[in-house]
Amino acid sequence: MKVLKSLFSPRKLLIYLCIIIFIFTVPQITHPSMSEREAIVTMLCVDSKDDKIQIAAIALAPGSGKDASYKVYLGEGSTVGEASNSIGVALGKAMGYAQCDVVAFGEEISKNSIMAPLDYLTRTRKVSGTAIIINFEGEIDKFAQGIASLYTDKKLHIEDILTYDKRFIISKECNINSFYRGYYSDIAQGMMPKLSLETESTGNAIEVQAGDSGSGGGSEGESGSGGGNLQSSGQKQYILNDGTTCIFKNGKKVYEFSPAEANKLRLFLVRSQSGIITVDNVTDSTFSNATVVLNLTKKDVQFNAKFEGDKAKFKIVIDLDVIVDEVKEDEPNDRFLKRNKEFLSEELINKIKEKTISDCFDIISTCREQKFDLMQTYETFYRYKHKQFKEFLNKYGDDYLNHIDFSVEVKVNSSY
Amino acid sequence: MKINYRQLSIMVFLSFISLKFLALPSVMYITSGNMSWLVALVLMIIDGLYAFMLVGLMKKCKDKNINEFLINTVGVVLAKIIFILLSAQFIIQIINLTKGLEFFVVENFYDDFNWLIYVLPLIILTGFMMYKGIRNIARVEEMFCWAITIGCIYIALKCITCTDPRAFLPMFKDGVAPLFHSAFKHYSWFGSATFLIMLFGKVDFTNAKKSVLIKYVVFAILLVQFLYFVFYGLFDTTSPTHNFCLSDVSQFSSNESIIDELSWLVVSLWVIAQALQLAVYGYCLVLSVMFAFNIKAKIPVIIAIDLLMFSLGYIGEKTVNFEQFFFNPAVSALFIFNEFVIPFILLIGYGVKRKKDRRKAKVVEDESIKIVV
Repeated sequence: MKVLKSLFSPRKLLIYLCIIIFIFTVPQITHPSMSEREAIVTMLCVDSKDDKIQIAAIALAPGSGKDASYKVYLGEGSTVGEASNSIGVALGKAMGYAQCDVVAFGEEISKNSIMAPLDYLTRTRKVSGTAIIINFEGEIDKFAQGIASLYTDKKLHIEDILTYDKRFIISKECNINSFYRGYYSDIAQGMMPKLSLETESTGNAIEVQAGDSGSGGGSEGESGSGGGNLQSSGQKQYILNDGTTCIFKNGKKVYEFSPAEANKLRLFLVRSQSGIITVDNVTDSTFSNATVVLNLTKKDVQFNAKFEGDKAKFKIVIDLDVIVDEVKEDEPNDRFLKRNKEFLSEELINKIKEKTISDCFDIISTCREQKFDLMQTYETFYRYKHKQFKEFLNKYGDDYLNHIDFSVEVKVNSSY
Repeated sequence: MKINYRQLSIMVFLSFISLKFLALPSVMYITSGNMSWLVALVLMIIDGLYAFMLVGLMKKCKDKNINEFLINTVGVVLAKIIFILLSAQFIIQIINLTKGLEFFVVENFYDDFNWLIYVLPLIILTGFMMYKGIRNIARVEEMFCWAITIGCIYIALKCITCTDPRAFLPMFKDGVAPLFHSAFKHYSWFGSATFLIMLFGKVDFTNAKKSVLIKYVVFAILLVQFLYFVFYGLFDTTSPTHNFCLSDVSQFSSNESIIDELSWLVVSLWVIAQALQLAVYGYCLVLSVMFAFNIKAKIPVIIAIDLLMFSLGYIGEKTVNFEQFFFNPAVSALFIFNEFVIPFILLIGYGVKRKKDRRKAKVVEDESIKIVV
């Protein structure tokens, strides 16, 4: 007992602790750094072609300060895991996805289903739930080269592109967490923004250097003008983010909202707070046949579901805080002498209301046609009128939107 | 060396919140859905009542340790049985904490991490704390308590604006049966006040304010409920996929701001709380094993417990499915027995003993009166 006591006295235990920490930490220090052992993937593009999964991993090539650049690795296989391993084998490095903050899905795989790759990435490769997901159009290798060029040359990241323009604030919300939340709800739907690679400059497209298509597992290309093992042709292409929004149902892409439609869709999204409303032909005490552009500074949306007898009624109340942003008028007048608040006349408010209500009903009719629910109708009825809604669903099934009476109330306030 | 009443209350507080912020909210959602918070609330209130009752008994028998108390009130045989049952509960709680911590640190903190690097220092640390005794543990808990609490509140507040309260509607959509099922199934994550039994005779009640314990218990319940509110409000139907409650909440709205980098510091602080709780359960297990088998030397028991922790992690990892083990009805039954039946045995034993003592005192008084007459 005395021997035991002397061997395991508190002071000795502390010494043992230090020895163990020393034994385990010293070899760790002498190990090569993680960036030597792993390719640090910051963005992953996934698509499919002829039953094969194609991936393009944009990985950080470490360097000091401005010398850090991004490389694109291409892989192909029957699954994302296999494609990823093919890159790993070719590179002699494991693919590290822990820093991956953007996952982009191509057109082809989006039509088939993105759930299997997404599940693999989040469950097995531990891609964070806060990673943004987007849809892209164009060839996967060129798109990835373009994005890598954007990262390296312009120091501009996808998150910046998607959240810079407030009109596209919906993009910010579309991360893996929110997509999963929508997918695992009863209506199994989600949405994500779309970026496309264009050959010609249009609107707010950003110029990038897109490479030629690479082939086979683990091929490598370096973007930008840094030289080295290049596959980039230096051909000018354009990344376009025009607000196009894709709707997914059961993990498959079912519809694409045009930029104009997406702007209307924003009205229903609780978290989308800012934007622009354009009203034509405004004639009142201040304006004469003017086109008035209003800046939406704050928006509040409330949904109210109720049953009146057998009839299901759904009311959407939209509260808008606006300021007059810009006016296009043939003849200039003395409005510079007026305060901004005075611009919001009864006529202008009515015009804004009319436009908003008409925009809302455009989206409602699209949803009715396409059988997806972007107005939170299902969720509101399910949460607040559970039993009655269950019976209602039994009666009408998927077609429930066509049997709900929608009404929209708009309140317009001045921001000043 | 005794601990004071405030230190005892802090130990109860940390015991109530430890184990609740790992996988529990995620696994509870599978059985009780969006009413999981209610299951946790009810079970924590039961734990709280149990804590008040035990502390009440402790006050009555200030100078007796639990071994003496049980032998005097319920007899040697029943005392041994109770100690064996308590030892089993402490072992399960140690396994649960160790496995939870291991899973959390090895899987969540690092991409590629050697299990031994984490577990060996932890075992030595808890062994050291078990040896140093309850006063030492209580003082360290006192030091970290507020940092841990503020950290948890900070993480919950950071995401409160993204929380959707509608996630809790509709209430009771599948009736109350799943709630009872869930309460029974997850009981091994509760029973947080049982360790108090082993602290009989180790608390100094001088200047003790009754309200201190009540405040800490209520605060612990509110803190857990607040974090669950944020967790379920954020993840709703996807809750079962989020196995690390605290870190998943902290990462929900992560951005690159400096304040956001603090999240991991806070989560690391909470890991300290888990290690401290491990030391508490370890200490209680040492005592209950010593009392159950009449062992006088402390060090061999500590070494045995450390070896048990190590082997459970190393060998058990490959042979035992711990997730299934914690859902085993026998494990829940053991916890329920310890939390519902043992207190009654203690109370009845104490009542009977008190009656006997009174009778004896009366007889002695009567005899002394006769002698005087």
